[in-house]
Amino acid sequence: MTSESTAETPARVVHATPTKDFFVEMMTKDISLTDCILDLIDNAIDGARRTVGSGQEVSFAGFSVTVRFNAQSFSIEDNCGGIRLSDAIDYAFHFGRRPDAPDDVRGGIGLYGVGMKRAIFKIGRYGTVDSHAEDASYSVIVDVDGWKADPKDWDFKYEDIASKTPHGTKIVIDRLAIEVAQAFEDTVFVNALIKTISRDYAFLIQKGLAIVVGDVRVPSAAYNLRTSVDITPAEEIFVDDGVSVRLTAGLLGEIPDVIPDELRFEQIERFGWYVICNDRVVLAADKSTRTVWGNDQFQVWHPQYSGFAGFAFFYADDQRKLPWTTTKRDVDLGSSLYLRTLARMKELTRPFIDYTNQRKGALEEAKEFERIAERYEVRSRAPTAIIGQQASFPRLGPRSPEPEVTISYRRPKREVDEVRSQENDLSLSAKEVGVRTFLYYRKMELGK
Amino acid sequence: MMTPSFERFDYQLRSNKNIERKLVFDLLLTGRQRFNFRTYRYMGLGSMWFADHRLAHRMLGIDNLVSIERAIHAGRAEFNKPYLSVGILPGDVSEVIPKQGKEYWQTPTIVWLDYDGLLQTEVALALEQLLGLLAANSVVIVTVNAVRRAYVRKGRADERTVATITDILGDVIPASSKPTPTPGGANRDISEKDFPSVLARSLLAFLDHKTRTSGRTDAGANFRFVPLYNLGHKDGADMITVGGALATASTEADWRDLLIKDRVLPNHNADPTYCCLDMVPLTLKEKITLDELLPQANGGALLAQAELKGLKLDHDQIAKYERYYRHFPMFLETPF
Repeated sequence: MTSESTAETPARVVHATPTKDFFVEMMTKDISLTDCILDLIDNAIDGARRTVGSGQEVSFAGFSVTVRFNAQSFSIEDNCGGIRLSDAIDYAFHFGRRPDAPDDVRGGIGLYGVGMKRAIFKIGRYGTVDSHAEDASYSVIVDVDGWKADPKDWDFKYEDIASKTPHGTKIVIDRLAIEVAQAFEDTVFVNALIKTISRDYAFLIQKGLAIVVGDVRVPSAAYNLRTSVDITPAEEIFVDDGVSVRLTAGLLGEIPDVIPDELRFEQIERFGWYVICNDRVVLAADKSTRTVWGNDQFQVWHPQYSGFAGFAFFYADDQRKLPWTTTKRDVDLGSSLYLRTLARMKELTRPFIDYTNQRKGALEEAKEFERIAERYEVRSRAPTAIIGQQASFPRLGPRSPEPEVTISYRRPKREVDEVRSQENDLSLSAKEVGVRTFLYYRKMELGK
Repeated sequence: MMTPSFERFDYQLRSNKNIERKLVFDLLLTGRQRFNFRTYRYMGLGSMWFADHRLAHRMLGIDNLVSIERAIHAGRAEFNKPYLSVGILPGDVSEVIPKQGKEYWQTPTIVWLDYDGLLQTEVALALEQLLGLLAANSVVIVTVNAVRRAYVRKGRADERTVATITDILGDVIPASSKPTPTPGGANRDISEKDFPSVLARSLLAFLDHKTRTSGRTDAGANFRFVPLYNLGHKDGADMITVGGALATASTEADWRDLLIKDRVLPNHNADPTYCCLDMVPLTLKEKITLDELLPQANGGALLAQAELKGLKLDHDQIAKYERYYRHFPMFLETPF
């Protein structure tokens, strides 16, 4: 068989030309609204990175990104240098990275040339990208429906606008998708977005970057581990395939005495493994096989491990070497670099698991050790940590000499709530209600 | 066990609560041309006094009246119900609501969960259940205690009221109301003064969010929660009352219009702003004196005129009276 055409027979080919619908309707389904907004923030940060240069110890002070939205409109504005007109014409609005595209910004976090268009398509039907860069000031109109109507012309028009300093980019998107407008009016969405930005850009915010959502300057999430003479976090640093890797892991917060019947997400949301690529948090508080938990025979996450946090920092000038996916919301489990790192992450997790088992027998002693451990910010190294060493935890003594028993009983929730109301503390745990009523009995009936 | 509130006082004898109740029904009354409330059901926690049921019947013409009452008090409530058509549903709210069949909820309903206790998980659950069941153009109102210290979780890892609200309602405290950490990184909490308004705004955000995520639609468009009430009142303890309508795309503007056109309840772009009713009780002589000076044609002169008449009330109390005098009650003892 041959695929060559002749005068008599048509070419035997199957067509693979892309359609605009694929980009507008399909690609936008695979990404959340929040991740689209983060893509736009990533682009702004890359603009700032171009100015401050590569490296892990640079400052982003003076750079800001402001996101505003309501049920009618969305905008994101930055002072991070703008998109050069020459880049816009040839690369920035291109679907996918062209082979002749200039190298990515060194140490950047923007990837693959899809983020901005995908975000506009996801959020609304009409976008305006105003850019003030060192070579020109211009405005690109992305009229999605008008653009879709012509299947052959893939280009967007731009026009010159008056220049403005400081240089930066402003994207305004109107004609919002119904579900997007709904989300923008929802306090829970807004809070979740702020929380996500606070968490995912914490290490950039700590370096001076200002991110504003509405009227709120987003604070940096606090990533602290604890350290003392007896409790030291693990610390490993190595370079693998051109990527600098730093792993640190240990005690983050209080380890629970008992696992409550009704465990809420808030109670465990900080714990687990974090993966950070070029200062952008890719996985946060992961408790799945994407990091160590349940991965290839390793223990699955259990609430008993609450209190643990591990951080895997990856840095590379060439972001394509980093083990992340296009959404930057997941790790690339096929990456050999990541698999090698994962093996080390498991090793660093084990001492903590052993400690949570051991402390059950000497709870009060363990809590005293944990209480006196001081918090330190994970970006810096713990004063007690030694590079290449695993985390260490106190040796705990034998169980308290007075034997204890566990009392367990069930009562209607309404009755337990009555006690909570009487105690004027609705947050009392069921266990605490049990303890208080037991102590009350001992006092009233036994006088003790 | 704490004595039930109806055994401690007569609900009808609290001035600010009394005003609030009238404001709630007055607002609905202005919408009677658009919404046929006579066909609605009124569902409340009538206790032994049925003050809100009386207003629903008198002002809105609602005959279908339902009161939820704890099983142990249901018999006494049955005895005290003021009208033949009041039905008593015995049980806790979050148990009673899901027990009514789908058919039951086809009737548009005005529900007022007028608790005198704290906001608890069960209250949030009941509200969520209602938002998943109520017919379009129903109204949901809830009243809870908003005394800040009752929401401080003693002995918890996070004792802040922010954590308590988030535990019960989810992450609904508007970012602009969340206290920012101190420069040293310590978490601040909501102040005593701001707590009622923040709790009220959080509850409204909760109702809005649960409506959005209920997935309920009318003619292909999602139900929307239109906030109507953002009230506080103080007859001793701080209480808040919030609520709104479960609107459709075709009625959303009508519901918003109620608030825009209302002369008493404050709003910003049809979004109710927090309004606290904290007036001190007035004597009959004070009330008659002020009433004789009202309404003021141009406003602003009441203070001066009240002083000329010898009234010794704080200026802000007189200003508040001017706003709510149409609703201000007077309680007198009658021999019989």
